[in-house]
Amino acid sequence: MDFLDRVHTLPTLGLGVSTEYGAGDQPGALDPQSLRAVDPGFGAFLEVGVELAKGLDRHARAWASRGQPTTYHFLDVNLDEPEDLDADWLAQVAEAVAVLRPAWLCGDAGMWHIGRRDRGHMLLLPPILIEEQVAPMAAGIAALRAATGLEVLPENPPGTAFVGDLHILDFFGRLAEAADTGLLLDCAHLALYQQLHGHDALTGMDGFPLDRLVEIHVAGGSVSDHQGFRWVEDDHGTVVLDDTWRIVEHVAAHAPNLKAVVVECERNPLEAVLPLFAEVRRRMAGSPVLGGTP
Amino acid sequence: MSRNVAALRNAMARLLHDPAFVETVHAGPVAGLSEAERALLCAVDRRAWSTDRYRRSRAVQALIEELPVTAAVVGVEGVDAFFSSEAFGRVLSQRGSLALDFARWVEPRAGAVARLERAVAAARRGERAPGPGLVTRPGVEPLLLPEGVLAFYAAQRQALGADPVAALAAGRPRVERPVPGAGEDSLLVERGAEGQVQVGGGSPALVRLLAFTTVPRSRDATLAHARRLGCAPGEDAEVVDGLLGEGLLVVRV
Repeated sequence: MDFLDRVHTLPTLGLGVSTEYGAGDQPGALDPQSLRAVDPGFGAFLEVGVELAKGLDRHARAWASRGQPTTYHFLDVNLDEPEDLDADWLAQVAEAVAVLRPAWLCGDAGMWHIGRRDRGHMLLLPPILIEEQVAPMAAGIAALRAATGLEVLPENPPGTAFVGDLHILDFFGRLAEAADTGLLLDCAHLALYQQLHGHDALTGMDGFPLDRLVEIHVAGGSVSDHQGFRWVEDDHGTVVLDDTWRIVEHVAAHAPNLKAVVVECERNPLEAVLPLFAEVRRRMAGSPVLGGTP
Repeated sequence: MSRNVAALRNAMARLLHDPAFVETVHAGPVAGLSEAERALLCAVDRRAWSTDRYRRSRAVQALIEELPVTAAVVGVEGVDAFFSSEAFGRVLSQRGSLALDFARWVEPRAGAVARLERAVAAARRGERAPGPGLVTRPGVEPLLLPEGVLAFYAAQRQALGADPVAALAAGRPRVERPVPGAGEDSLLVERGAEGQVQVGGGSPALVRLLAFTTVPRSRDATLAHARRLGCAPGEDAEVVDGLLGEGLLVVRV
């Protein structure tokens, strides 16, 4: 069964929120459970960022123990390096999956660490956007899917330096085809990529396989300047750039298999994020993720 | 012509950590990169590589945290220089470890204390080469050091206090590396169940035998090495079985 058949077996999760180890213990951080209490449609699921060296924190465990929906966002695997999918790491993934019972795995398909996976090695860089990068990354996605029995959705990472001659949407389109998988589009990451390259927000969308799009991320960003070089910082604030909203609205209107929307705002207090969730809901009203038909 | 993804990825990581390498890439051909690959890197606005002004500082901080006394000997600049070295390039290209490879790189300047802190870092990681045979338990690092280095380490570690990074960043003067004594200390660096690492003593023969088995060895080879270290025939098996019983040696199938 290929992905466009398999996608119909995936649950529709709706609007959710993300977290990672320790985020919930920071002063002023969003409590997903409180968000869910205010409006169950805002905190319909929790996307848990997992770096296995740190494990799962008490908040993620508590959420999962209530049987509430989750997705597993990896933070520690270079998908194109077969050595990264070693037996120990896969065993730890299996343990975390057993706790979270996620609907799928997802995460930035880039470089999560330099050298081997080790202390002090962690970072996040985009993939090399060339044709030669597609096959090894697709192989990693397929291997992780086979090992876990869960769909693995690659996400377009952020960055200020993108190396390669493919547009990032072309790269991820080819990657999804090669791995026969679905996609996670981070709309804020895409907006910053487009801005960095002087493109319109929707450049490249015409060739992007929106029918493979299962999840999107929406987040605030801010413009920074370094020696006259301007770029958008993916700060997960509550001010969403106009270009990001254009991408969100385009996806809402054209992605027939969209199942989940994560509003990334984990470092903001509840009262600050409620208007953002309401705005996302309003702009995505026609999407199947909220029960509509594009 | 096919372009090498790993070479590009490693160059990208190096560009983000080393402003001098940015200039090198823009100046002309670079060993390990084809001209097509270099052209892809040069197509990026060079200012884009330094938008995170603290990336290299964070990497330096991580090394100081793992090897504080070594850092006290070579100074913050001596740690920072690693990120402009070919050794850092090899961490990227050979799936190396920053802490372990830094310790090896810096030992000629820092002396044997770098080897001691490297053993602590290695015990913390608990890694061994794959393969069947008898192997020293991951988390146990046998170590032979010149006399006096352990005492120097203990004194300096205490002097650095609870926050060595802050102490060194505040301009604490570099300390002289210890003058090696004539004798030798034979040590076992061991990670405990809670993850804490302790340094203890062992007999020279025991430490040498466990050093031999830090890579997997056959039982016959291990027994032969025990005899070379002075065990009488018959006693060799007794020693090896004793180490297996204590859990200092483990059997890999």
